[in-house]
Amino acid sequence: MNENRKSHSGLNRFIGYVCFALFGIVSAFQQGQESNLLNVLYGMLVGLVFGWFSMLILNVFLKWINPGLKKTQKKGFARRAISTGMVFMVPFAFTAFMAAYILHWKSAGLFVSAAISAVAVATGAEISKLYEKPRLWNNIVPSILASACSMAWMYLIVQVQSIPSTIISLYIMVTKFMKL
Amino acid sequence: MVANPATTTAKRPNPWWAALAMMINPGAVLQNAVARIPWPFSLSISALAFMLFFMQTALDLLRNGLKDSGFVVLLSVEGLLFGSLGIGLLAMIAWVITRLFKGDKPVGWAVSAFGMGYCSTLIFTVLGMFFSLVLHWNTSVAFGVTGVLWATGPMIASIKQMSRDNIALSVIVATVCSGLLLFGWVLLGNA
Repeated sequence: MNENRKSHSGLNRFIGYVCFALFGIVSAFQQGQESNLLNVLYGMLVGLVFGWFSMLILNVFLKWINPGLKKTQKKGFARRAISTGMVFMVPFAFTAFMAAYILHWKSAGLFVSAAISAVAVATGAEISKLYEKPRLWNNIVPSILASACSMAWMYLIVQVQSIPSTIISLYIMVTKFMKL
Repeated sequence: MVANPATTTAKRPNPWWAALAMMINPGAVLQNAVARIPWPFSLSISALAFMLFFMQTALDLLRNGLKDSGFVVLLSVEGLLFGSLGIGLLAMIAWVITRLFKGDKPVGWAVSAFGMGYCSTLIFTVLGMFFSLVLHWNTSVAFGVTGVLWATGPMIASIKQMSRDNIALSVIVATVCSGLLLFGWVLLGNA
């Protein structure tokens, strides 16, 4: 039973990271970049790193505000709750993909913000289930963190857009230098 | 022995507080309050939210000289119908699917839960109207789409309750509903 829960947790986390990668790809394409393999890999990398880091922060804060659960629950209670929350990004990733490639919208950031908030709310609800009487902090703190992560995403995705073109320029320079 | 009505009858929740709490803690509201909130009230929230959202779409087009003022009225009425009939229909689709997988909630509960989820959309669109009318900003995407996306979280929570905590089913149904909602808006909102 416990093994089953653990394997579900791993699958949920995997699905969540696929969603983060998709958000990264959609966002990378939407900043006026050409569609090539480098952009796909770059977007995927940004999405995955951002996803890993934001979920790490959520994990740390959830453990911090729930010291009692550290004693009563098995190790990794916060990670399991986050894994369940992460799977709820699927509808957002799906609609973001549809909006970008079928409707040609340039508003992937909105989908990411809403998706992270949904993860936060779902994670808070999962943690609340571990208490007899739910604590409001478990809803408020993840929501505040989600807002901060959304803002970080908006900033990050715009700031690092120049990186793929910089890499290409460097690559061209190096190959020219090698020929000389 | 006659039971005391004061102790047997549960206190009716304040629907406005329940609608606001739906944004922070949808699970608790769905568990404790939605069953006792009349579905017409819930649908009026989503109807109003979509009416303002569609109105802002039309105002953006009007401001850019692409449509006339008659279009604003037409699209607002479409939004009202989409937010009431459309969301009601969407709730029924989700209800039918979850019912096939041993869901146990009544259809009125589903409609009420879906409608209540659009409280965040209503707040976003009210703010958007302010920025649209006072500051003449284009607000349909920044406020309207954001508001509708924020309602997806409560919608997922509703479907999760309807499917008796079946996470896989609730994610699939929520994805279908989100897709229908997106294309519904594109079909009607850009008419």
